Amino acid sequence: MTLYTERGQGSAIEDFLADRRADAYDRLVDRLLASPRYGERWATFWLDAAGYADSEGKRSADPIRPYAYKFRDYVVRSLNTDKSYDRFLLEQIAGDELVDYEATGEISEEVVDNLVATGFLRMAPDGTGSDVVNFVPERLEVIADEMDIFGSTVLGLTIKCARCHSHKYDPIPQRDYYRLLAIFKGAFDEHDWLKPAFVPGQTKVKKAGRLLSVATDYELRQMTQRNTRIDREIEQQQSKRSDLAASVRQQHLEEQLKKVPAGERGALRVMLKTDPGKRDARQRELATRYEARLTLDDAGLKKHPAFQRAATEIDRTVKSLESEKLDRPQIRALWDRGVPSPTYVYRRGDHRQWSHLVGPGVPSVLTDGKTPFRYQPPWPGASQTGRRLALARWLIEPNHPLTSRVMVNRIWKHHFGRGIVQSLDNFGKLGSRPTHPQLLDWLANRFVRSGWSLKSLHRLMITSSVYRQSSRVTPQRLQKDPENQWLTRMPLRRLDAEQLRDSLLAVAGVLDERPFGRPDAVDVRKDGLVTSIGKRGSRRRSLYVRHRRKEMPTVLETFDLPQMTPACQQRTDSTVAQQALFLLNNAAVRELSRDFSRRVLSFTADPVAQVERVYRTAVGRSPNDEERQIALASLLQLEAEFATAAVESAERQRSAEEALAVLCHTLMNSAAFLFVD
Amino acid sequence: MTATISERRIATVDPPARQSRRGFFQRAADGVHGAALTYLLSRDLFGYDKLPHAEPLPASAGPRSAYELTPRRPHFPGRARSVIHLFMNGGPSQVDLFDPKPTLDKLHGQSYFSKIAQDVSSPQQAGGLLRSPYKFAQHGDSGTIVSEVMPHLARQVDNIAVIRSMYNSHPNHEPALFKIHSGRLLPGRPALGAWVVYGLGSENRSLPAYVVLDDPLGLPVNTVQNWQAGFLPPVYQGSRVRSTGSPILNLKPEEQRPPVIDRLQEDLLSRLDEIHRRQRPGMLQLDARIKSYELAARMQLEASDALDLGQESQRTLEMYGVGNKTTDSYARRCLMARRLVERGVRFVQLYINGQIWDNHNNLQSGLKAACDRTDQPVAALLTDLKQRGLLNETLVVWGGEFGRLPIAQIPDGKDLSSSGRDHGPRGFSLWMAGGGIKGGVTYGGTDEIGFAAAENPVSIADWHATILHQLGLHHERLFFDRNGLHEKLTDTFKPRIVKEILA
Repeated sequence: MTLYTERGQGSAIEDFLADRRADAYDRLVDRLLASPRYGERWATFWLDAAGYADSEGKRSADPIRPYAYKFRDYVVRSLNTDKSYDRFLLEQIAGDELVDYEATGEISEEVVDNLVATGFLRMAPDGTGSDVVNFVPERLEVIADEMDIFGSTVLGLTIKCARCHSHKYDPIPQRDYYRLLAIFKGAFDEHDWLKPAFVPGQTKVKKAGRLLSVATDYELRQMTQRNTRIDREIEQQQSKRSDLAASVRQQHLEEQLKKVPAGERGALRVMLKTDPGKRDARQRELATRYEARLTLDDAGLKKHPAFQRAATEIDRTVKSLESEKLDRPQIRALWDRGVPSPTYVYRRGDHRQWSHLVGPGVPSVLTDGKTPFRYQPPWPGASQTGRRLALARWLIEPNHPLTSRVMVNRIWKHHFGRGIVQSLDNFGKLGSRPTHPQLLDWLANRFVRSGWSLKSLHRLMITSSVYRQSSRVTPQRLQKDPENQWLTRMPLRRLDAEQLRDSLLAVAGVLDERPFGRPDAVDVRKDGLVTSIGKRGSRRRSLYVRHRRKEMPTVLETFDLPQMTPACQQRTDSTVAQQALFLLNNAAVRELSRDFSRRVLSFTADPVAQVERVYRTAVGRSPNDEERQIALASLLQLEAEFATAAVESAERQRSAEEALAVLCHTLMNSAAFLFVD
Repeated sequence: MTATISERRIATVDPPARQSRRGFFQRAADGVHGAALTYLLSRDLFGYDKLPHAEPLPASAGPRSAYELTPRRPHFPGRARSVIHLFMNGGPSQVDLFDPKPTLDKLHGQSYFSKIAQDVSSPQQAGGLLRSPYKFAQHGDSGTIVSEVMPHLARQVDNIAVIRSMYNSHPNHEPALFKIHSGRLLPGRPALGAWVVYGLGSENRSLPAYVVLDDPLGLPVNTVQNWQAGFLPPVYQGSRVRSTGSPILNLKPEEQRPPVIDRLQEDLLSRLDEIHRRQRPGMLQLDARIKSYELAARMQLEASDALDLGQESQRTLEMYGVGNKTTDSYARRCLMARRLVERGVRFVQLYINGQIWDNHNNLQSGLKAACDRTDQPVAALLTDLKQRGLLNETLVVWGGEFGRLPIAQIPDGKDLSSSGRDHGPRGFSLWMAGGGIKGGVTYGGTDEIGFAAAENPVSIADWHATILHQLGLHHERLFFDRNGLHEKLTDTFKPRIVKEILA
């Protein structure tokens, strides 16, 4: 199923096979679409196109973007709730102009969502957090990347070529590029720039300019409750610490008193209890002679063995409690700031060679050429220009020539292996011709009429007979349709990077299903291997592993996770030896194969049933007779060899387990595991 | 506009006879003659020293299902088949190595700061003009000038062409490294080596096409981004081969099992995959995958062999400086580089940990220490390649990301004896050898004090285009379609090939 591939769970397939009703397939599709996995899987494609990353990129420091993950979660949630695509776009392009978030008293979830959605326009690599590269040319680079992402993802047009000059055969002239830029000027102004995250040592202003401290009451209450609880615990710890200090000081006093003449002890106790200002001459004399010896000052206390260890422990607890406190919720957003500077056409893309002044407008080739681009402040008295809101409204007009076609084509590509227009990001004259133009039109129409429902679109595609045909290649099909552009068969697909890592974890039964939230950090080993799977690492889905541009987990990189420079419209698939070496030899993968085998062992001790179980878990089907025979023979042979090699009887007992682990590991390396028909 | 993959390819070579020929040599290599003889035979009997003749893919095969590394025909016959890039990270000082400036001796100590103030990264530490602490002399028949800290290279000058007029456009290491490795000051673009193997593929199917030999002591600045594939498919990125321990990541399992178990698993996997493939005839991806497992298996055998310096004679080891504490590490990597190009690896790149050439202070001792570590191994590599007849077809390039300033950098502002030099991107020296480069040449020049390239300046794009040219690749025709652009190593620059240093 191209909706998503579940390795290691297998229940959906078993349910389907057990379902004898006539509409079993439709029910399967419904179940798959209702699963939270759907949003997690399809978010990947949108995040690729948007250029999602958890770091700024551009410079080798590659600073972290601590709040980018909220955009990722927004995309997953929107897809799972089947938010209509027109609304989805509206929020991402002009969420800040939808509701007056500064004036509304109580912040609703919708307002937060709107602002988080604008993170779409904050994904480009950005070096301007550092003072030395925060000048107009660098800012223009960032804006150009954002335009590139917007054009390719939403309009399906490659517009960046028009930044420097007009091209003879390109219907987008340079002037149009700058008119589009003017629409975004309220937020992307190279002369009035908000810097990304603050990087220690690289900038003088210690304020991150792209965060909005906007939160729902619920979020704030949660924060307050949690922090109050933590504060209380910290207080307890601190009183524990001062009690301890008092008792250690007392203990010290008693020990020291034993060393002074017995006759003076009583007088000394009285002296110590007396305020230094009120002491008489005798007490003052005693103080000079004994006080330093009898009492512990702070430094002495810290060094005191009875205090030191316990206090360190308390301090550590306090520190970890502090770190559990929630900061005030922040949103990494884009917002219109009201007074954009004028936009000029920059000859050769160079800001020093400015020529004509242009106003905001959409590409003229997509309009009737007469209607001017109109915009107004989104609400009376708004400081916002409303330009992006007007752009978004124009994009989601039902008869917009590109918006629906581009999205339909994108979804098609991920189901059928290639788009009806093969160049997803380049529709029209300079892109590839659609192979089935009428189909594209029909689907786009249906999509809009269904209320821009993506789930309906998926259902339409995957219940079609084209989708349900076999992937078998016959000589005739190969001859008449070598590239499968006429869809004579379903393509064979390799699991992509995230699917592969998630599948390895899932078949091993150790996949951590917790969704959302801060991404899990990765570990960069000395030899350059970047790990997430290891003992210390995260076992959550790859979507929730930190996507830092400069250090992606080796497993994901080896299996073609794209670099976001600035985004990725279509992934490339490579088939290289490093992939084989990784799956065969990587210690973490081998460890997972052991987990897998233990999981099977806990289910059955019978080798025949084990083979069955391994197949069902790893590839979601029973082995055929030939496979069963081979696997079983190997299993027994492996067990015999392990038993022979074993020196101690304990090892001999484990030989069945070891043999099964090898079978599991082999399945995890097999073509049947790696490829989906 | 996206070209189909087949159009994007320059041409593809896979003569059917090669498989069996390789089989023969693999068997021969097991025998008494060993790998060296196999190599010589393959060259002499089959004209393997010429680039194989290309036949374009038959049209019926359609576009490739996957990017891979089959050898491909260059745009025009090239002079070099392989490249060894001896990258000297940190910025070696041109005026102390290859570009003597008598004027500096004369004006030593005079203030010059105000004239170059905007190029000085640490103005508070800026001193006066600083003469070189070393003596220079002419060497070889060509009379090429090299300073006394590179005595070994001095005996090889007739093989090398020094360019004295290189320039970079940023005074910081990170952007300057991106520029010299991938053509622009930004991360995210493919490295030179990635472009080369994208263009030409590899002639060895048991080893990675683009090998990076980094220093076991640590990664250079910008770390693995120096050899990334950027927007090219990941198959073209540099593969780190480590000179200690297991040479390739995951090449061997971390835990050992009885060999019989490995064999049983191999056998089981290939049988299951065979069933899978039989049910799916005509699926090119499955064939590619099976090939990749075969390559992995060969790599496990051959990579260890290729990198086993134990097969080298004592004389060779000594010539490189293996076993000598100062030179050992770099010598090992130089020797591995030779063994790799000998086996048809297309692009080998050597790095040194940290930045030994970044002599901000203690220039006199620091620069000498850097030379002591590398001079003998580098010279030995040239000698060795030459005596084995490999230098003709192996382009060796030596150099860093920029040079250094003619004025002193005095860390505490007082002690002149501890002074060094700050980064100087406007003019620096590097050299090239072999692969059709004219030996004994000194090209271009800097101004009177060695601050900026003045005579025949060579940009980094010029330099990249020249390297591609020697491999038979034209910088405008080696491109990758991305977002409607023909992306190129030389980007939108209009480079000029440095014909003056070509043989």
